[in-house]
Amino acid sequence: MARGSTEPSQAEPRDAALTLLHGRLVRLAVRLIWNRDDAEEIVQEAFRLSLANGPPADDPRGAAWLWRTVCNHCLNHRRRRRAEPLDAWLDSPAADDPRAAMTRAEELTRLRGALETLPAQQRLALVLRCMEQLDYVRVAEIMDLSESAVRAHVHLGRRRLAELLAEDRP
Amino acid sequence: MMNCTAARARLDDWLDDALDASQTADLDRHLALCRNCARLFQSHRALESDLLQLGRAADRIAVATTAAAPRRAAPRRNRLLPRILRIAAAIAIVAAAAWTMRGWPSKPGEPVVPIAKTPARQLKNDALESVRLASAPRVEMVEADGRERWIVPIASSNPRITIVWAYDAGSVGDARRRTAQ
Repeated sequence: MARGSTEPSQAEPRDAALTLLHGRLVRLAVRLIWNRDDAEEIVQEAFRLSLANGPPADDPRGAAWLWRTVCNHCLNHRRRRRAEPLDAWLDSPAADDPRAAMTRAEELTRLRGALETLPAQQRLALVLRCMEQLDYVRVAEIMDLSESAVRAHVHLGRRRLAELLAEDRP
Repeated sequence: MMNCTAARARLDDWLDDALDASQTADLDRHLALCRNCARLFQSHRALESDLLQLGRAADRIAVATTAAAPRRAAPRRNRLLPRILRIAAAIAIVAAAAWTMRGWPSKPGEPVVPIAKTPARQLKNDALESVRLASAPRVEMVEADGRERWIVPIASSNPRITIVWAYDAGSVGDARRRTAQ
C-alpha cells in the first residue's frame, strides 16, 4: 500500500508517533552537536532520506534506521554554527549565587568539550547510554554493534572521560 | 572479602544499577574500607550525574523555540546615536548637493551664449526637465514657452547625444547674474 494512502483514523496515531520520534531525534542530535538549528536540519535530512530510500519511518526497523542515520550525520557533522552556551540551560540556575552557577556551567562545558574529544564510537555509546538513558540492547541496535561491544565502548569512554577531566582539573 | 580489582570490575554494573543485592552489599563493604576505590566510584558517580545534567540541558535546548530561548541579556546598545548619525549624514548629503548645484550652470565669470534657435518645443513644463539636444557643448540660455531657460549639459557616454537639464531662469538667477557679468 502506498504510504500516503493511510486512513485518517490510522494517520493520526502514526503522525503522533512520528512527531514523538522527531522530537527524540532532535534531542539526540542536540546532545551530539549542541546546536538546535543544525540538529533540526540533520533530523529533517534523515527523514528525507528515509522517505527517499530508507525503510518506512513508522515501523521499528525504520525508526532504528533513522536513529542510526541521525547519529552518523551528527558524528560527520562539520560545525557551521557555534555550540549553544550552557549557562542558560542548566538545572536551577541559582540566581542567588551567580558565581556557583557560572562555575557549574564551566564544569559542564569542560565535560562537553572532553566528550567531543572521545573517539566517535565511545562518544556515541556514552551519549546513548548515559545521556539518552537507553539500554544496552537498544544502543547496540542503533550502533549496529554487539551488546558486548557497546559495553566495552561505554566502559572505555567513561574511563577516558574521567582521565580527561582529571588532567584538565586545575 | 572483595579486593580492589574485583571491586573495580563491577564499576560499570554499579553505575548502571545492574548489581543484585548481595553484590551491592559486598561492594559497599569494600568501599567502606578502601578509600581509593571509594573516591574512584564517587568520581564516576558524579560524572554520570553530570552527563545526565548535560542531557537535560540538551533537552531544554531541543524543545525551546528560537524566540523562547533564554538568551543572556545582550549588552544594551545606544539606539539613539546611529539614528542621529543617519540624520546628520542625510543633512550633509543634501547640503553638499545644494552647494554643488548653487554654482551651476557655469563657473563664475564664464560667459554664457544664449541661443534662441534651441528647440523650445521640448521644454513644455516650468519644472526641471530632461531633454536631448543635437549639440549643447556648454550652458546656454534659451527661450521656451515665452520664458527664459538655462540649458545645462550633462556628461553622456554617447558622444553623439548630449543630455541637458533645463532650468527656469528665475530659479538660477544667482548663476545668471554671475555669468552675465
